[in-house]
Amino acid sequence: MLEDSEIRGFKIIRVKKTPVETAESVFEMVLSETGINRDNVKFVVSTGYGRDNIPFSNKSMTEITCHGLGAHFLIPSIRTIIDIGGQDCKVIAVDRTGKLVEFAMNEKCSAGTGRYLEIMANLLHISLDDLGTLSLKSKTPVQLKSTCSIYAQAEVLQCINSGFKKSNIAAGINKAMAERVYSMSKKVKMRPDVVISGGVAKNAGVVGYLEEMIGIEFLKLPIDPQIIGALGAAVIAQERYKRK
Amino acid sequence: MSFESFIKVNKTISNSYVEEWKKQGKKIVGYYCSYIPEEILVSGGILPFRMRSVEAEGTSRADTILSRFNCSFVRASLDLAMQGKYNFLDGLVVMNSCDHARRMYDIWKYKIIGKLEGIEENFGLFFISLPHIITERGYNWLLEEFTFFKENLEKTYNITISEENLKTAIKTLNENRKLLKEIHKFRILDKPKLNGVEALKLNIATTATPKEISNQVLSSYLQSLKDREGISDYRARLLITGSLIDDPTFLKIIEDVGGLVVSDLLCFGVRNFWDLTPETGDPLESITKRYYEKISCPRMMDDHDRRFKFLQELIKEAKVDGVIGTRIEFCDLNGCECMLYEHELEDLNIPMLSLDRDYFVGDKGRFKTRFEAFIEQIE
Repeated sequence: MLEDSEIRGFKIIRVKKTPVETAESVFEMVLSETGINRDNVKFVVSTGYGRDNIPFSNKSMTEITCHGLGAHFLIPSIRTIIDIGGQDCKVIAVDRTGKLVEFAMNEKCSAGTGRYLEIMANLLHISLDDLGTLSLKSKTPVQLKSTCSIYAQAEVLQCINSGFKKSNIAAGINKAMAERVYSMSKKVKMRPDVVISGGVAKNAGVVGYLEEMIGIEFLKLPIDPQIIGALGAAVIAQERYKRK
Repeated sequence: MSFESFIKVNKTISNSYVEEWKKQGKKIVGYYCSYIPEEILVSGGILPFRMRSVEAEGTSRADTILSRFNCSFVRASLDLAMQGKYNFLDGLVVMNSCDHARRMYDIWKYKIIGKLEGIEENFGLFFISLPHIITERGYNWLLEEFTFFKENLEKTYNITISEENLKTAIKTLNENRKLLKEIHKFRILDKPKLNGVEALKLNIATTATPKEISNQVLSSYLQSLKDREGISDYRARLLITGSLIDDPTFLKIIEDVGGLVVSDLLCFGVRNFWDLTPETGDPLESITKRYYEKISCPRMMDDHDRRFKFLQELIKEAKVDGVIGTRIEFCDLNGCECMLYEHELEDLNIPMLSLDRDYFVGDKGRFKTRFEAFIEQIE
């Protein structure tokens, strides 16, 4: 929720049965937390999967465009956003106004997404957070050659069975993940400044390898990297309302 | 025959026209590629039927023969054959157009013909070898191949194909192409009279119905177009190219989010009807010339510059805002071609969206997001 250039409130919740239910309850929560009356919300833009069917929304926009505008709102010098979520990975290039210039999104496969890390963390019997921290201790990451997450699982199992250290395997997993994202990122002309958003932004291992491969240090976002898309939607809402 | 039944042809493999043709005791021969000389089949009283995969729900049967590393379109078409959906065919022409489709020759020979109920031993199986480069030597080679193909058809089906037959077939096919081209002109207007989905449906129907009927339907359709209201509520004018599209589902996702597909560079589209066969001179030579020199498929080597020039002409005439290129997984031909277009179009400041896909359009939501974002990028 945005008022002028101030973020009045935000809320991250787990998805409910339908996008409509999710949207309704998150909206309610923000309203009650901020004490703002529903009628005073002038314009609503919905984004993400299910964006088209939100009854109280005035307009829908893809999360790709929204991520660009959200990041730009926070740091105007941003030109590239790498967003790695659970199932999607996107590299988004914007111009100096935050407008979308080009983008790349992973194809059908789960390699290079948060889901890949979840599968691997499960296999190592460690938490997602540990996958990041453990990885930093390693000097000799194992080499995973399979792109496919299913085949890579077999490779990781083999590493476990051969007695490799967990830290080296974790580092290998993060490195392989960074490589997938890196090769996708090359489809887009990457210009500084670069930020990384989405849940995987919290994995220091992946972020470190990615910075090393791309050769650019990423800027830190001043707020939770998971709300950038919603922020972008609010920016559009404000702009549309003013135009009206 | 009504327009309603014609426009529905794309939804199924067999159709009412095919059934009617069979009832009359006439032959139908399937073919995999837009380089197969349809004129030769038509002149022998045979209905050419372009192989599609539209009714397939999966490839589990075909996967017992082919691997996951083969093109999903080809696997799906084989799956349909194994289900008996292609039992109305009396023959199949295969070409070395791409390695995946080319292998259908061996598979039909060793695994389908005589092994599958409905596809008996007397099924005609033909192979035409198309050179990969466009040279005079290559032309002579292809002329020989086409001549051999004609003789082979005559022997297999005990028919005679005269020069007159060939000349009539050339005229009939040219008529079909001219009509499609006229319809194309209504598609590229500022307020197009038809969308990409409808254009694709028409183009598909012409590959699965008798040409005379197709000509009748298309010409009355063309008349009706003139009085139609044009489409103006679109967000972007798009051109689509890349791997084969034989099913409107994919274009529908694009058009549902406001992108209007005003043109294409596809073998079930512009590339199939653009060039005419010369109506003078030796008919077999004319046919060879038409297929060999037409706007080429990316399988033709050292012809990319001509294709790109043609693409630019299409973009210009249809006032295209952005290009969408798709490649079916393992389609090396369109994979490389799309990559080249991406770089070349960037120099011309024309946005392009490249997508990998399976023959089966499964994750509609993710495609939708990318199409919508592409339109937002253009707007």
